[in-house]
Amino acid sequence: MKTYKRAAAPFLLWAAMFIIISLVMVLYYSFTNEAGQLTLANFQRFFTGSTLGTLWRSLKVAFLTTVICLILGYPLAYIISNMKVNFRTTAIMLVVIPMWMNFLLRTYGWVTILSKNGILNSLLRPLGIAPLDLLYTEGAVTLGMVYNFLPFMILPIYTVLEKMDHGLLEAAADLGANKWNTFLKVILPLSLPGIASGVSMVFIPAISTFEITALLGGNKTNLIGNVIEQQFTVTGDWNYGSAMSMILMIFLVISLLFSRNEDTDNEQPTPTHVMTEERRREVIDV
Amino acid sequence: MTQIELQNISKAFGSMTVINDLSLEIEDAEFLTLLGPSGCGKTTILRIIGGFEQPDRGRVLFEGKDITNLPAYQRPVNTLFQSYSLFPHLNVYDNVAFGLKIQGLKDNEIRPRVEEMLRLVNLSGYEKRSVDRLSGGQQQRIAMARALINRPEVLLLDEPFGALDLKLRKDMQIEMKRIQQQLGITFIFVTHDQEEALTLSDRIIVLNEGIIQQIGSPTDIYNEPINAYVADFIGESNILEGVMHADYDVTFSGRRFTCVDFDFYPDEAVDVVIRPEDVTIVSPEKGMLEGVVLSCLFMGVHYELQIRVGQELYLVHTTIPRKIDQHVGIVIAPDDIHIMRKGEVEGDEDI
Repeated sequence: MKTYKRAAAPFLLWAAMFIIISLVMVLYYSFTNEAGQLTLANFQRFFTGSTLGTLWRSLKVAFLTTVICLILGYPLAYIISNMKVNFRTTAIMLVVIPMWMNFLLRTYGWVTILSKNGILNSLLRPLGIAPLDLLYTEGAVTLGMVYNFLPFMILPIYTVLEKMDHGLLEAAADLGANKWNTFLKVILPLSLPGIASGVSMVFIPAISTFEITALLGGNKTNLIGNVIEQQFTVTGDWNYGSAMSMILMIFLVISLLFSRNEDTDNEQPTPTHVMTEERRREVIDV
Repeated sequence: MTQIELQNISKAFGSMTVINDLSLEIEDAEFLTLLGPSGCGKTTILRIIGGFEQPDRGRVLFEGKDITNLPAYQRPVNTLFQSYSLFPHLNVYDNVAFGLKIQGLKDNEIRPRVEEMLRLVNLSGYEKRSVDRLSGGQQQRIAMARALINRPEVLLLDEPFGALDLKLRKDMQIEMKRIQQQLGITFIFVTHDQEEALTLSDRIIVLNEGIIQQIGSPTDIYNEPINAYVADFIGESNILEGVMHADYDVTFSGRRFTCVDFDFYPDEAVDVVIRPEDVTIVSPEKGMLEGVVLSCLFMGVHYELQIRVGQELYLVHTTIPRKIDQHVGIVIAPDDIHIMRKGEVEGDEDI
């Protein structure tokens, strides 16, 4: 056991440098101005400016994306989990394989499909309804997000459904529940942990993405991720960007708490890790 | 009155035939046990009655009506599952109330019935408990309450005592019998434990490889096993090769004995079954057979002796211990010698 603990030391170093120190720096920047003085001005500016509307729109788009992913992902996960074992593996591979391709490339693919002279419009032209303005809309951004994040919804739900004790379904049938009742009263409540982790795994990237908005939303649909990005890359206002990151983080923590509650519902809370003097010395030794 | 009838049921999984042309009638309000080793098809029969498995051939009748194609949730039977299968997301109350909620009953109708069921299984006051926090015995009683609250006409029990320790198992057996008698409904019970079957049942069906070996009351099955398989499965037995010369005249272990069986072919090869407790040990010169004690184990109520007689081993139960290598005599009374046709099963005599 001791040797494994030593092996974790590089990770501790990594975590300290790139997670804790960076977070502390973001925190520091958000509460200071360019001169390095403590101030709440960054937050004041956020809550009085137009960026609040952008946050609201981001929340809306992320929420919509999550709902669509759930509506599409749950039935898909359910169908896959009920397939024969060898079909199941193939189906899951089909869900996962697109993720092997570069994320930006995949999203860029949608530009060629949705643009004015793109594939979709040229297919619609004979019907006389083209050209439609499909690209650079909120709809295109939502579509891109659903497309990119759907596997993150399917996989955790599939994992829960696939592990479900078949005996429980027989017990429900035995007690008079038809298929629909069995689903509502047994399968759905027991798959809530999968839904919770799927929801947070889609919602978190959806609310903070800026690449998808940049590619499919053009400059017409700005979301909070883009505004933050611009503070660092264009405006160079690190303090304001940090403050916005902090606010976004609060929403992420809330959605994480939501999924954690579901996970620990049926389990005893794990005892918090206590660092003994001996262990501390070990860590220092390395 | 016949309640459930299985007609010529066959079932195979892949190339393996589990049940082979099995027919069976189950009476109203009886405690019927399907007894056999694992893989004998007993659980499959139960699952066919419950509607979880479709037979390849044959029909299932319930009070004369064909229910072969009726789905599980429409059948008037409930099951006590081997692993209990309690719903982990529901507490005790909601588990027990599950069936009634499905039926759409109102809360004020459900509550008294749940309380009544919890009283029946001696778990009043456990309504709010999470099912994970219950012991094995308690979980089983909740599963029982959950199955019985629907007032089924038949309760199917699939090896329900498998996971319990010996003491708890005995208590649950008594409780189960009490509940069955109190409610007056049919229990169809599956087990591989012959002792359990003998204790609880009104009728036992001994199965082997999907074929009924014998049907009878516990005393019939124990005292008059139809073949060597049943004799060996029910209790411990000495099974010896013998030859039936004429009525009441048999040879085994190199000696001629008088017995009470008749109606065999002349010099027919037979199985001779003798229960260990029916063998009496006497001094060597007084015995019908003479043997040497090989081992003597204390079993609690009695001692279990292995005695070598010629080339054969006799298992003997006695209350007096004997020394190893001691020479002893054996006496067997004529009506303790059970002669069995080789390979005979239930229904053969009708053909």
